[in-house]
Amino acid sequence: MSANGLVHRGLLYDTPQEFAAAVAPVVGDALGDGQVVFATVDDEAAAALRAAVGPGAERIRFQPTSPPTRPTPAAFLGRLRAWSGSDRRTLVVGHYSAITDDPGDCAEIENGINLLLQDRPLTVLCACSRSRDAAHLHTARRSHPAWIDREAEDPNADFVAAGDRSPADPDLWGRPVLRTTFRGLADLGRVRRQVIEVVAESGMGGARADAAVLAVHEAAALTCRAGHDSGAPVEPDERERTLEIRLSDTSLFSEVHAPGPAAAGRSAEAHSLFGRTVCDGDELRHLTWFCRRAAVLDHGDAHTVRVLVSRFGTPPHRSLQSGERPV
Amino acid sequence: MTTTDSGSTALLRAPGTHALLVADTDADRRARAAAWVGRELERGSKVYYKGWVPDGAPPDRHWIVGDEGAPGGAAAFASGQLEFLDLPTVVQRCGGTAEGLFELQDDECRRAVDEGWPSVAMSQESPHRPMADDDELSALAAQEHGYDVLAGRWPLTTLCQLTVDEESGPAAWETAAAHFREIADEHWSSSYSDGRWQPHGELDAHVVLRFSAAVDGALRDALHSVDGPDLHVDLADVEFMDFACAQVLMLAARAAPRPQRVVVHRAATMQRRLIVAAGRPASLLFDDEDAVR
Repeated sequence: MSANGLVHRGLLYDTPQEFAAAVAPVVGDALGDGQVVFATVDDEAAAALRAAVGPGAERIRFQPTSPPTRPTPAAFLGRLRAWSGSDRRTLVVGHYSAITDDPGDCAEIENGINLLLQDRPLTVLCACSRSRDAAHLHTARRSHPAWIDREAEDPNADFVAAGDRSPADPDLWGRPVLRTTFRGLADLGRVRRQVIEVVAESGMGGARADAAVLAVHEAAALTCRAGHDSGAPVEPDERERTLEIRLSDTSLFSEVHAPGPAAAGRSAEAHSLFGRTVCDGDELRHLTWFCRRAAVLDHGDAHTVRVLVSRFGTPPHRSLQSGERPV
Repeated sequence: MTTTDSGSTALLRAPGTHALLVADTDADRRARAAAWVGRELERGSKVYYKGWVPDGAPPDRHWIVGDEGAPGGAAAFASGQLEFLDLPTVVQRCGGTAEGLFELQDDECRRAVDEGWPSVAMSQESPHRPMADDDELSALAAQEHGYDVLAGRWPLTTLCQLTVDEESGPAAWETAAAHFREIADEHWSSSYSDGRWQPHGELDAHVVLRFSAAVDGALRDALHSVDGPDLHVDLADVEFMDFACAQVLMLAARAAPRPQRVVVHRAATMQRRLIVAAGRPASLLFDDEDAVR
């Protein structure tokens, strides 16, 4: 099972042994190929997988799965992105029951995998017990282009492309045009120059291009501040952040993923870009002058700042009139 | 929006200026200071360089005359075109006072001209002073004013140096404030002419404290200006400004004592929108508004 981009496979099973028997050959091949293998599976399935894989199982990186450590969908997608290095392929075995009990979160994660990680050197095997509720089974049947099969493609006739079923505008995601990392405020100038290039190549110009660059810059800057009153950094933090920009026919979508929780009081704006409403807050108020939508998603051990800018049409929605003085 | 030279390099090339070189790290400061000294040597200036040497090391062990130092620095040091003094010796010779330092440097300028050098250049490394009390702040102000007086007497170009990583917050703030007229940071710089303070280049969250300090210095200076207390900030040459730096202008205007105002000239649409989004007070005006005319 090899490919350049995402390989996303599903499995419906009745017993942990059946799960292990289906997954172990794929895991063994991946380990033999030098791939990094992560597993987010429940205890019973982990034991069965260890037994089926044999001595090589010690190289599988089993992830904690107890409820307090369960990530939000955005955080789990961030982990998948972080796990998928650029210099080698990564295999992730995910067990629905070990990742989330919320059918909505499960669907969001599956959507995100298909929409956001399609160009990553990543294989994701998603397993769901046939004893789970109908909503989870529905998601499993609709989310995977093919079922797990070591030897040959086993197409899934029930698969529905994410863009046709996502609650979010499928045009939002577009194609990735920039993925870069940075470590703190000192890197913002370099990142900005990369963004300027992408924006220029997209055909945006004038004030709209300036607004797009500014919005992405502010999203990146927000992840570098642990908290502030006047925009000044108070706790320099040079851990690595990832900026990804996607371009669709109508929008420029930017997502900055950063380690650590969002600062206190910062978890906001009323429009999550996954279609979920999160709490209001002041942190992004200034960004709404320069983009269509902005959101901060706090995952506890990480956070994500997203901005969406229209490429064409009317200018950012809060154009100033001369002399206007908002509070 | 472009990303051209911030004007920093041009400022460091201009003779007759009294500028502050601002660098994040010592390595960055050394590279840019060495280039400045090399250019001054090349244009025939007598260069006086004051800095720190490792404990007990002789002056010729200072990096400015070493392999990573100024182009031609070692030869200039040998010929006498470049003179070096370590900062503890400077303090000893001038008695630790701004007046003493002024006399020492006045003598240096006189001697250079007597020797036939067409121009004089002086540079000082980050002083590592805490700037913790009013006496030190007064001494800094007197010292910096001294360079401006000397420039009126002699063909003098001065480059002060600030390594942000090595100085305390108050020291970095006061040093940048004292040099608000001519700052040469990596991606932004400042200049002052015809009653207008003009930042150039890219103003973002990384440099917001330095920018804020410079605005503070400009605001204090304007308060006592014969042209009136308003601070006139010209943004025509600012290629990028983010929200953090727009907030600085807003906060400066809020902090200004009446009747002082901050007047922003030639702001681009995006800069204007940023400043308004930051919540501008009545004491911040744009140049096209009736209250300014």
